[in-house]
Amino acid sequence: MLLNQNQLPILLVLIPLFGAYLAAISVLFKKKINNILSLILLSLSFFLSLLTANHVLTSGDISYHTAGLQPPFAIEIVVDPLSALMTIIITSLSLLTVIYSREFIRKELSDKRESYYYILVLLLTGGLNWFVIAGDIFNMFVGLEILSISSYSLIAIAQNKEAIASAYQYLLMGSIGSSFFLLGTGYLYIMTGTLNFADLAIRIAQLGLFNSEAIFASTAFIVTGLSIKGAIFPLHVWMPDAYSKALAPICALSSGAIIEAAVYALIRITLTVYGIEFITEIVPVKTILLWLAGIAIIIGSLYAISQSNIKRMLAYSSVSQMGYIVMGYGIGTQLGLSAGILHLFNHSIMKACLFFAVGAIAYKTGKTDLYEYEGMGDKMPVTMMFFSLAAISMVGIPPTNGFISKFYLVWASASSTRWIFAAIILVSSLLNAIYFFRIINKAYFGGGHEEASRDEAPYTMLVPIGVLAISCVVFGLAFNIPLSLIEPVAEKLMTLSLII
Amino acid sequence: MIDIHYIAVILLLSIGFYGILFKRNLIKTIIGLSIIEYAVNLFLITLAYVDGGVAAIYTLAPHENMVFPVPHALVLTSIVIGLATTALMLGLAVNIYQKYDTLDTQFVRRLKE
Repeated sequence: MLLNQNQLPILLVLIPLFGAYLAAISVLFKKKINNILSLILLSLSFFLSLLTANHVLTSGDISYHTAGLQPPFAIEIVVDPLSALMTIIITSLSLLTVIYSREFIRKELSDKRESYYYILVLLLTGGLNWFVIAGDIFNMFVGLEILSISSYSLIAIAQNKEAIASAYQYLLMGSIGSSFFLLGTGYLYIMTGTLNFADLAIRIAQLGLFNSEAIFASTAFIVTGLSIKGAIFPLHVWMPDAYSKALAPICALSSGAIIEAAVYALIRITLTVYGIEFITEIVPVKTILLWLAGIAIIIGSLYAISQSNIKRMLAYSSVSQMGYIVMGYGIGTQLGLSAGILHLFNHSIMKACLFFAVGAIAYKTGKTDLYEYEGMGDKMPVTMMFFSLAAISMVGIPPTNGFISKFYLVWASASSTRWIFAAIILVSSLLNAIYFFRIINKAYFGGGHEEASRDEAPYTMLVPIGVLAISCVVFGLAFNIPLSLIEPVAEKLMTLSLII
Repeated sequence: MIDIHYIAVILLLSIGFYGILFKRNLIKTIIGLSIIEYAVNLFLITLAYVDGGVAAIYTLAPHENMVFPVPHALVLTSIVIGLATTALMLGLAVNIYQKYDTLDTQFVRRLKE
């Protein structure tokens, strides 16, 4: 083998990051090359992430150290099945985003901004990959900042009045979140003298720091900081504004990958560093998040029903879907955690598909409002079909993937006798049905058949939508593929603290 | 012993949050955010401080006491990140001024539909 398999994960970070610089240079020589260049680089990263996942499944976790030292002194990169799954989500979504953007961005942005756009997407992918595979808390912070700064810029790149104002708001909240995360890191470092996740967990247990106020403070700061980034209720207020004004592919990428990655980091840090017992018994982070998630699911759905702008509606729907993920984590059993992470995977597919489809409709017809969707089923039948597929998946109708993860969540909450949360999930499915079937009803049975003539989106946009919509059904049947990556980690995270 | 540095950190954090929450001028909110970032940096530097310690740069330094080197590395990184954030915020503020003709947050259109 040409390449040492242990070096795969670092390439996942380096290819997009150096690709961003390469793209910045190459645009000086040839205009409009960035789309092809980022397509090639991201396909390569996607292929590498699949290889990494395969390697992790067949021969165990990868731990790669830089600077020629051993951890905890070296910078460590750890890839276990869950982070491999996250890199697959991130690289596949950004690849699809780049394919989709080819026509979309050409229409929306000027040539100069178009080349900036692809540079920022590459930086974002590199930052996200770094964020999910980092083995120590400070590198996670650096990855978080790379991805955040590129996502603020990507929201603002649309250059309309509202997009800039909402990007400013997002930046303000996001920077406060980052500062909190860094403060928490400082507390952890001074109490233990290390930054490495595995080492932190060992030292907190060895030094008996479970009752120290500094560790409480670090928990509070880190959880709050990541909740802002992950748009967890009630810190979600930046999200609907940012998403309703940003470009559709950016909405898809950020609600499919960025907020997911932040929630992933929350799960990873709280469960590996502090351990399940600490966050259940000493600081009730999990219980607080569980109840907040319950409220978020209902409130998010109700807000979504009251919106008429579809992108804004989808953003509020993301608030409630993040609630599902956090609820799975908050239930606190191994089954609950697997269910939550499975929903994370499924949500990124469904929501990206919905945003792509809404963007394609806006691209062709300029319509963004729910009440303008009349006759859309005749006008853009293929796009609307894929939209409906993702929408019924969101509602949770079998045999789609949304059904599987909701079923798992209900099962998890029922088996830990938290009946109220099972009821919340069922009620919220009903609310989801209200706002999604309203659109489908308008599009297919809302009249406007006379004027409709077929005018489909270009193939470069239809392919990503189709791939995601079909994977909604595929992963509804083959749900054991993501579960095979999730379950070993869920088991490990839940039993970790019992060993120490 | 209560360290005066920590009180300074808390004061700076409060000033920063006051600026973000109550000031109507965009530039003042940016200043508030920068103050928060520097409060965090000051916090990390304070953690590294050892009484009478020397900077851990020269390995053959005569002193036994050295300050913690890791927080210094963290602060360097976080200063650079803070620079990027502040530059981006100021860029957005320029953009907002061009589009709205004001820096007063009250007149920047409420984003509610």
